[in-house]
Amino acid sequence: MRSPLLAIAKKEFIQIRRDRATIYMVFIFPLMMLILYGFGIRYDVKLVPITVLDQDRSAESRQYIERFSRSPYFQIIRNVQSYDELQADIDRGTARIGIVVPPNFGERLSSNREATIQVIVDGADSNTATISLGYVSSITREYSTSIMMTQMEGLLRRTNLSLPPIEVEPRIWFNPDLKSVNFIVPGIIAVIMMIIGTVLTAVTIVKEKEQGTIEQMVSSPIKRYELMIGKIIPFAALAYLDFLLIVVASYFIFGVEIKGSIVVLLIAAFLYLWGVLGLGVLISTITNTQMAAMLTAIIASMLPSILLSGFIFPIQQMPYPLQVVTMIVPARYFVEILRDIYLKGLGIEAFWQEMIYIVLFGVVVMTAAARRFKKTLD
Amino acid sequence: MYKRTLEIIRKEFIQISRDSGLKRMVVITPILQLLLFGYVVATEIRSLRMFVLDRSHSEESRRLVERFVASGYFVIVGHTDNLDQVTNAINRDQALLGLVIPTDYAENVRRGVTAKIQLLVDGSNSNTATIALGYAGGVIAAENNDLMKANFRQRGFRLIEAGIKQEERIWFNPSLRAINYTVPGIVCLLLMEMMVPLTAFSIVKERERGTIEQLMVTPIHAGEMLLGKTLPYVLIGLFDATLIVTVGTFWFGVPIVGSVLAMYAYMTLFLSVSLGLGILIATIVATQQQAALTAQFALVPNILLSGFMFPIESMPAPVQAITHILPMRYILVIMRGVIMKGLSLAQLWDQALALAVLGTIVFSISWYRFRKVFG
Repeated sequence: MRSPLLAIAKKEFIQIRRDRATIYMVFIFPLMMLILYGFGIRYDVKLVPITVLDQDRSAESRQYIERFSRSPYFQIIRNVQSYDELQADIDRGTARIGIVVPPNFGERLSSNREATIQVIVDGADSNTATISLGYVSSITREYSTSIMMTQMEGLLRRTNLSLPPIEVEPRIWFNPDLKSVNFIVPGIIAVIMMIIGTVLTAVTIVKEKEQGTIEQMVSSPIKRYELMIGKIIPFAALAYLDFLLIVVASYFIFGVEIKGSIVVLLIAAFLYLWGVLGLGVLISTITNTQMAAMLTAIIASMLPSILLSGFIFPIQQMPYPLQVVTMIVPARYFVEILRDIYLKGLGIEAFWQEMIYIVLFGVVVMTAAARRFKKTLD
Repeated sequence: MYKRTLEIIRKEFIQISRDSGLKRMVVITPILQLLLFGYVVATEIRSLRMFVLDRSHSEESRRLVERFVASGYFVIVGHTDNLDQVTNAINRDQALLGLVIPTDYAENVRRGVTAKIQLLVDGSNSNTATIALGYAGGVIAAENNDLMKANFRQRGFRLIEAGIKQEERIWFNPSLRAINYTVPGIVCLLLMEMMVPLTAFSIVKERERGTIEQLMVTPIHAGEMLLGKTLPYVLIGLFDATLIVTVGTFWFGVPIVGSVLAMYAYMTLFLSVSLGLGILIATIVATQQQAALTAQFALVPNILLSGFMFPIESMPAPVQAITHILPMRYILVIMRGVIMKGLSLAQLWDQALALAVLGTIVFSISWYRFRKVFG
């Protein structure tokens, strides 16, 4: 005897298979995100464009500016003759920083007096501004020290002091090269599974509602829960395939290795899947058109898993009320589990609480979805 | 002629007004997004959690730790004498950094021999780790400077205090508030995120249900139909943009320096590019499902590579080249220019021109395809 559940799943599979465009996208989309993030996205601020106004043109001012052109953090895009030109560059955003060296710069330095330089910063992007201002300060400080050193060379030899007084030895754990792709992969897995699992599931179920074909199924002898599970099985398969695709692709393209247990990873992803699909069904029961379903799914699933999961933005840095909100976002726990497995190579004892939450979320959302699904159909 | 277009607009609005889910999202989406981005993206990285392993137990070591706290970037979450405890704290995400001060620290500092300290950093979030290392470097540099001076003074030498003073002027956003930069960005993001899928959906919907045939047999022209189907969404887009700007101004206190009228003019220009993209998608897909995925496909690069979150100049050169075809790249410069810097068209003409050229190209292609598919 053939189960009606399997018949529904089969019908759904056939529909997806006929829809070539969707299939391509389901597999190209995760790869595109992985590659964009892997190659394109760098969080470090580099090659900040600067415009220089050197009013001094002495050996010292040239030395000082030289340090900027040698630094990997800056690129001098223009040497200008007037303050107006410098201002225009910053206004138009072609330069983020303007450096003004006053006429008496070299003279004051060689006569052991303090010289002042002016740094003009485009503060619009406050994050980049803060970081690049830090780089400017350290170049200025290093140049200052080097001048001081040459003037005190004799002094140093007499005192026998070794410099610098303190030296820091940074040890970076889990991701020693600070490669962003290593920490991005777990996040991409969580987000892609959400997009496929929730957005696609919601839109597909609502489509049957919109087109009225769901009525035909309701009038058939199939049970409600069979209908629901039959409909979500294909999407479960697609979302899980995408997860595997990202794991494999990130290994072969970017060499991202799994330090922990692969089996645990596979299980964790499987558990996460049910909450994701349940959310999709739930959204399909509260919307009536595909358009509304997609917007709701994006807001309820995609945005929180990008912004509130710690995927890009660390949770501890968020304002407290938002930290509380992140507690109900399943992606948060999933990303934590994935990072523990991927980067830290930890075992289940480090994240069993997160595992329990994910299972719990899946059960609650699935139950709610099943109840509402039944009600909206009857 | 106008009447026919108006009829289509009326029909579209009736359909929208019957879709309670959609109406809800048109209002909720922008506000929720602004709040999320405003509070998540626009927060600075501060109070990084540090675990201290001080084996020196000296005045010198306490001074160093104190210096980390005083910088405002670090909070001490625990002290210990056991390295395992530091490792544990980092493993379990209780601390991001571990500061290890060795037994001979104070002695070395007093004798003027370079003292070595260790900084353990959880690198799993490379972004936060980089920033934390940068802040720590600043703290150490300041301590070094003080120690050096003190050492010289102790030995009876006077330092030559020459050197360079740095005078900083921060323009456009003197208090360096991140939200000021985020709000103009979200306006652009939302316009694209809503407009591309909504226009694509509204057209594909008719095709999927077969109602497009009914429209085609009426005397309406393709142009009138296109105008009638997209205009409602332009209005929704402008409504949402207004909502964000209003909430941004009154809730987050983001000032608008430039002309509001100019802002709307640029937004309309950008909207038409987004509409063009939506129409283009509608002509190449058959179902709303495909439209949803294709729209996401088009949106992701516009979010990640346009300079919305990360500065373009720091990206690798090939990626920088790609960014030139992203409409979002230009509107971001324009909106931030108008809202934060008060720039005029004279200063923004090249960005506006690029956007207009992109819009013309996208619209020509989509119009050509639309005529072919729906003509």
